Amino acid sequence: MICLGLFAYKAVNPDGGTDGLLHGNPMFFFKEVGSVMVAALYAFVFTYIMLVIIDKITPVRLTTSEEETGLDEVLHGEQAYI
Amino acid sequence: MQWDTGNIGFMLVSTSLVMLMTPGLAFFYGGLVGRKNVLSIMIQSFVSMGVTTVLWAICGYSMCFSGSYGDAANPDILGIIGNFNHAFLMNMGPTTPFPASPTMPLIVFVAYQMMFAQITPALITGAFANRVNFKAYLVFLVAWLLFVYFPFAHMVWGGGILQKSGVLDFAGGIVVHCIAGMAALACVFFVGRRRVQDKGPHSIPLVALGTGLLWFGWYGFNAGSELKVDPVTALAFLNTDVAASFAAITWLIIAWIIEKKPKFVGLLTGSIAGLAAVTPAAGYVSTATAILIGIIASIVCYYAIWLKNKLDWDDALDVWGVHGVGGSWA
Repeated sequence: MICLGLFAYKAVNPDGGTDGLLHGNPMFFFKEVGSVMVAALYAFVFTYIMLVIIDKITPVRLTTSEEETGLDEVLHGEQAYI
Repeated sequence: MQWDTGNIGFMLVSTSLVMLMTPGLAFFYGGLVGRKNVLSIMIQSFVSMGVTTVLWAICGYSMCFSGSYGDAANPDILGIIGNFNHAFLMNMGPTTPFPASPTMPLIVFVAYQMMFAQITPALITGAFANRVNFKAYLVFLVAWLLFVYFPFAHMVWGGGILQKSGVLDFAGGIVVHCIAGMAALACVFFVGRRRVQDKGPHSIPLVALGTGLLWFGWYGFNAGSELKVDPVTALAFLNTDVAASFAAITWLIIAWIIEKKPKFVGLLTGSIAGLAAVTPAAGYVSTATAILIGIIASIVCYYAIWLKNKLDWDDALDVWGVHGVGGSWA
């Protein structure tokens, strides 16, 4: 998204495209950078909160002994390789 | 109504190509983990093909693409999420045209976008490999689509607030890679480190098979995002391949210099970094720029993974480093 904000070039896509910072359109660059920062923060925070809540309903993490046995056997009762 | 069979045919093929990326991702991740944890990570991708389709038909399509910000006749909800006019895919039929490209039926777009919704949550699974319960994953899959994916698909592509304010994202730099990568990082912080470490990738040939399917499918992902056939479609196609190739070779060279051997997994990871990086820009930049994006993507992602290792974050299969950083950067 940052490179797009820098390098976007309306001449290659006159109908849908726009110019980026290097083609004289700093506003577009700031929009791209701003939106990617908002998206990153939102995704991080919401995902974390979601996992905290899910963990109260059903445990998210497996135990050490389950990890040692391997998830294929523990969770699915199947093996990739015999 | 005069249908454009070229557009419809191309978009249906693109839809099929994007569909194939989710099994590709399953092979990519399946090869990277140890031999006792292969099925558990592969099923996390495959199950998304089923669960996401169910959710998409019930309310997902409608929450992403029904209504738009500032439209008095058919408003969305606060510019963040769509309304429920198309819940259960109601109020549309085979002959309903797609508004942005009226020579194509709307249901083609419904199917095409559904494939994006399937692969995006599956991308996250690489971060918490080998340590998450399947039941919890299923709840996570549904919740993440409802509260993260659908709002961003609407805001950026579905007539939401970001699209209306002029933000461009050709095929999913924000909607797919940035949010999946950052969600992956949140998962790593929440679940913590693996207590039992894999000895390394159990099958690099499987990783190569997965990369091949992903790269092939990415033509549908990026070129198809023009939603019709015109010169921009061809530009996006070529830019996709060029960025992937330059990124793959750049990564190979970096690995050869720093790790002393031309690592195959490095070549494969580099190509995915390039593909993720060119995704938002594919139809908006010249091919010379796509070359630059590919090269920069590999350098930036390589050092993001180096930083991750230094900080001891157990993002098992580098979802944040490749998709989060790659998609956000380029």
